[in-house]
Amino acid sequence: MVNVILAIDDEDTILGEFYTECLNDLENFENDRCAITSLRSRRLNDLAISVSVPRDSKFVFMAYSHGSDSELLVGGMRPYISETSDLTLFKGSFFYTCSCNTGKRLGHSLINHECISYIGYKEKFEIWDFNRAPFVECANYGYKLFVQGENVQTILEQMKGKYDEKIDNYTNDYFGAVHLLANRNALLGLGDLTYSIDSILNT
Amino acid sequence: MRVDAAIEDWLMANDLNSDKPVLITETNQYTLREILQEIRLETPIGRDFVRKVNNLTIELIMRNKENI
Repeated sequence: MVNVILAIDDEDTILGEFYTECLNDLENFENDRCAITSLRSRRLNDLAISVSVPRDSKFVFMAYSHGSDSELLVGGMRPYISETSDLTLFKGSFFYTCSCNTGKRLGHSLINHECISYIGYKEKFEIWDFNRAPFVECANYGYKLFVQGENVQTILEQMKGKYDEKIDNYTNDYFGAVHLLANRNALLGLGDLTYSIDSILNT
Repeated sequence: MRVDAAIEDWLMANDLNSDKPVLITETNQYTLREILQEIRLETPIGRDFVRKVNNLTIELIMRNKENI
């Protein structure tokens, strides 16, 4: 069983509802390969993370919150992971995040501290809330592919394919497609792109 | 392409309650009317919105899907 730590800012005033829908979708994704431990808004801080991440095994870390070039933030204000925090905590992890901008710097810093692979966004991640469902589905799709055994390179390709599928299906809402395309173009993978869940299960 | 005019058309076609936020960004939520205002005032949010609309237009033309 693979340990999955999910940091999720479900009480954020702007994005909390969206993250809550992502969380519900993840919890309904039944599988016998992963066990998710959630760190929600009130427990989301650097200390809680340091005691939650496994020290002696590979794991998956997911972050659904505001982000900047160099930080992940609670409430858009308070960093819980940053370039100046102890990034060695994420050594041996597959890091998957739905947040703005962390692909610019934080993702690279994680890889430099022996995080194995990173998937996130190098620009703003925005939601056209007229129809939220495709944004939730695309946000979680990469994690589900990882659980199903795909490697990071394939995950990136299939995530972009999922975005394209949703863009093409946006027949009544051009502006929803506008933001799905922007999110697709911001998607980024770093580190070992051949990495998959089998690498964890076989160790 | 007049993006503000397209938003006005979309607003009327969908008969939306204009008080409902439809765009959620890193720092704020915007109704369609607020987006329209941002575009007309050429704020960073407005310019970014127009840029993304143009990106989709180009993307769909390049993929021969201009009639989605």
